[in-house]
Amino acid sequence: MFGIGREEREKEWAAFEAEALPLMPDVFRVAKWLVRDVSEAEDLTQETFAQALKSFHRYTPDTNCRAWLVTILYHLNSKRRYKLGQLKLVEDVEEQIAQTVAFEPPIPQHLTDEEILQALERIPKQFREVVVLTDVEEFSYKEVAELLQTPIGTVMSRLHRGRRLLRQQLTEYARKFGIAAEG
Amino acid sequence: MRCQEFKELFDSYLGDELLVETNHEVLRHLENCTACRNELAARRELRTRVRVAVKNAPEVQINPAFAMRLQANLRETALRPTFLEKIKSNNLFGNPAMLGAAMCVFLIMLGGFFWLRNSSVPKDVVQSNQPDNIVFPVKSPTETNLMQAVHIAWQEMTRHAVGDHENCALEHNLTEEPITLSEAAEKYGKYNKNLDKAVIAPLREVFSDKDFGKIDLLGAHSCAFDGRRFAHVVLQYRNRRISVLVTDTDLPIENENQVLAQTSETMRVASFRTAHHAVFVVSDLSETENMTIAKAISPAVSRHIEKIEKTGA
Repeated sequence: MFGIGREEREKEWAAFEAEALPLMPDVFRVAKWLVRDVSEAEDLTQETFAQALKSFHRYTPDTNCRAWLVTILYHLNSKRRYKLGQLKLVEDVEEQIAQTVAFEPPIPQHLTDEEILQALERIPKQFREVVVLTDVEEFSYKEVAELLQTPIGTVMSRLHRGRRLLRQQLTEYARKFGIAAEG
Repeated sequence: MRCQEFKELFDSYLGDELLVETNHEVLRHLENCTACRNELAARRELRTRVRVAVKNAPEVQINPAFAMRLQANLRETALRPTFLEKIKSNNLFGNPAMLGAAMCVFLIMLGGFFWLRNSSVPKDVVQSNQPDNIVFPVKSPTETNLMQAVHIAWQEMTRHAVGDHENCALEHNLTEEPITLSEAAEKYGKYNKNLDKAVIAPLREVFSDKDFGKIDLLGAHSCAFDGRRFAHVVLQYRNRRISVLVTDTDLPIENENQVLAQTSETMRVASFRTAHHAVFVVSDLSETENMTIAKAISPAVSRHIEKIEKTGA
């Protein structure tokens, strides 16, 4: 963006405005799920777009701009967490959790959006993150693996377990409030 | 393929991550296995429900005022001339006094740059008077026929609003001459009177911030497009025209007190409802800018119309 003439700057801005800016609500949504706090999510969104603007010459037009922006967002978030000393090795509880979810519960019907969100909130972060990135944001396994800097096999197992935990949470919720389940 | 084998592939199949050959095997299995078909349908339904719930959740919607401010900051950063360009255009090297002044400016800018880097954008400035969330509705899979009929009628009304904006505010291409709002107040409803004032007053507050730029009232009248009559207020912002269009309707209200972003092939549309009227904001601004305008006028315009709806005065 810097060190180029006005005409090129205007051209680059027009491309950025057309490709990147419409994705701001999506980037904010991912940021909000990632950091939970609105103000922090706004800061992260702002940093992401400032960085994207600076690096826009590296982006190949008409490729997956959303994935590119979310990659920047994850990278910046890691840096922030590192600075704040929050970057800790996450204890691998996957196997432990997998053992506690040994069955495929039926999916209850007639649940509201709010109940689904509550169930999603209750599953551990590393599973929820993968469910949100794949099922909501529709990133591919490969993209999620790159974002989380984790092997693709781990993404697949976390997704599988995340979905199963979500079903379990929904079934428990339904049982508690007497909502009928099919299956 | 057996059911157990397929169960191991459920997730990858749903995510469209299987190889073509494996996909064919899965499809062959599904043709003959009702249990797996049902399980797959249930999983697909859950995935859709989660997507809809998350995307509609108010707490994950970006604040339009924040988005607009960020967009303005980015635009300014992107189009700002470089230091070398400024020197070149002012021929500063030819004049020692100017060179000294330029160095001072540079040092101040450098200081400012580091200061800005260490502080976040003052979001509180743009967040004042703004509602916290914006909802982009995702179509529910259980939409009934009645809701579909309402949806179609609403789409038709939106098409009329966009048509009126294009043919009245942009092209002046209407078959019937517009009439004044006072005249329309006598013929088509008292809410027409002073509608322009209800629209512009809240906008003057929001758009007084120098980063947002100024918004102007170009005119107001009552006009008809394709048989539908609108009270029409025309605004101008960043050299673009914006239409605020109010029309009568008795369609049921699906999302009370909400400003909704709608899809249109050519324009940005945001809308909100009162008991018997629909209000559309149509422009070719960005979705965020269009939505910010709609959210800013929504309380005052709703109050203006509802006062007439309740009292008839």
